[in-house]
Amino acid sequence: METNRQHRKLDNNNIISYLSGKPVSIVVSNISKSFGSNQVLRNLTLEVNSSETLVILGKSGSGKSVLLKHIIGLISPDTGSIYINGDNVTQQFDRAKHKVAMVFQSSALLNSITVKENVALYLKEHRIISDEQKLSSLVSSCLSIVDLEGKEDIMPSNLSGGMKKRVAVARALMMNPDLILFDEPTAGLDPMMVGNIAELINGLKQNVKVTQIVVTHNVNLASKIADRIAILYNGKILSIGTFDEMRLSTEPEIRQFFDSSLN
Amino acid sequence: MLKSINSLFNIIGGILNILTESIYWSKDCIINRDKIYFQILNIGSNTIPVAALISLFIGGVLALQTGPQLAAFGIEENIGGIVGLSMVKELGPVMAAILVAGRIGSAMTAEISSMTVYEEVDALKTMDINPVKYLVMPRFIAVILVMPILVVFMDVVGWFGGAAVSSANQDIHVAYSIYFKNLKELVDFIAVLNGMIKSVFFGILIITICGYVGLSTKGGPREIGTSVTKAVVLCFVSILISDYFITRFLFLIGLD
Ligand SMILES: Nc1ncnc2c1ncn2[C@@H]1O[C@H](COP(=O)(O)OP(=O)(O)OP(=O)(O)O)[C@@H](O)[C@H]1O
Ligand SMILES: [Mg+2]
Repeated sequence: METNRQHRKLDNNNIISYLSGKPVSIVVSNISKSFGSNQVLRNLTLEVNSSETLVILGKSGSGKSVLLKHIIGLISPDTGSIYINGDNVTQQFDRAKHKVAMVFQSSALLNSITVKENVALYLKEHRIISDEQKLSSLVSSCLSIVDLEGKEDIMPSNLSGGMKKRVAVARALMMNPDLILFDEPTAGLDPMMVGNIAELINGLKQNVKVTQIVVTHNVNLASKIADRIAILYNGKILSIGTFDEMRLSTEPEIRQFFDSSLN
Repeated sequence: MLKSINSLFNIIGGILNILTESIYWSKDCIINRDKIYFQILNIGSNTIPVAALISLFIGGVLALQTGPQLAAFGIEENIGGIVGLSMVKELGPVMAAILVAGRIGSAMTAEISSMTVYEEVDALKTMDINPVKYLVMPRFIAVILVMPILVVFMDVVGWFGGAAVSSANQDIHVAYSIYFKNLKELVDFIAVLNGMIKSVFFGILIITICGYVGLSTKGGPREIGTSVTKAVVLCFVSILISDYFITRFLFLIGLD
């Protein structure tokens, strides 16, 4: 048990020393987005400080995933702009300059290649590490952070939903990102694993100072990781503040997230 | 009406876009040779058996249709050249293209459109990996290399199919030696090259159409099937229409 834990620590350090992202700040300014007649975002404005961990809470279908996809440049807003470190990335997203990783709600692993190839994909395609041995050991230690040691050669279709999520987290880390967007990173995970993810996010915050935005329904996770919490309601950020400020709020739209989690 | 013309131009624009991107990313073909090699094997192993079967029968039916007519005029010894040329210039490349569209194009569209629907393509984009480079370019290079070989293979098998029918059929009754002697006189390298050029053109058409349809799939899993049907129909129609124009073109530049 003791040696196992030591092993884990070592791997953690290995990964942490590999990561070197420069923290970035984000400004989402007045964006609106409609799909047909369905207006999802209405003049939404949001600022994320560098090295901050921001948690976004919102009802299902409120547009949380759509907001994340705007920030990472997969969807363009109808109106409004998005800035990363002051650069307007609304039309042209320079992915070499701003390394933004995303853990998709659906995990979005490539199903035709193994877990290892998924995790190594970024480094391999961009020829960042060409030494196979070094790459393998990096992938292994990254997988062990998310408790998936030894799963390198499994195909994604043979993984459970929670395992896929964790592979997606490992794959995101391998980009050495400046900003990580987590779309429900703990959906389908047991409480132990939720604790591990919280530890990972806090570790990244303390040691790498990477900026993180986490969409979650898990108030327990939010309480552990959030510097601030933003409530997405009706296409806008209804309120933003620390966990305690939100928890003690009397507004019913905010209360519902905290009350429902108690039962 | 205006809308459908507009969407037709959108499709053509989209396909041309995939084409230029594929050509651009071909600069990375050496470092991606593993993926290209895999696609070559994939295309080859999936088409060769069926290609052998259908070209054997195409050659046979060509002989069966034309042989008795020629025999009625007493000029049946010309059958070798007729089957040989039809195979090399027209049926070889067109049938190879139809086969590749059906076997390779459909599978490619299914794979890419499911990757699009399940956000795998989005994931590639966030990792700064160009989807055309990663998914289309290896197939693009592979098809350019494989099509001419596949066509020559089908030509030869078709010749033998024609020869077998010509010698065995009582109404035609042309021996192998006469059949191939005539074939050798009429089919020259230029004619074979003509078919090879056509096939490369068709191969590029198939890969870019299927890449475009796959990457532009919108909606849920149900659209994967719709995309596959759309891509295959689009391939068939554009192969047969463009065949006329490329034949004209090759005729004009003297490659006939
Ligand atoms: N590509 C799309 N095309 C059309 N409508 C879309 C698209 N993506 C999202 N929507 C719509 O946008 C709205 C918000 O979707 P989104 O996925 O952002 O919700 P969410 O807050 O992430 O919900 P959940 O908590 O269930 O994941 C929904 O009404 C959805 O139907
Ligand atoms: Mg969502």
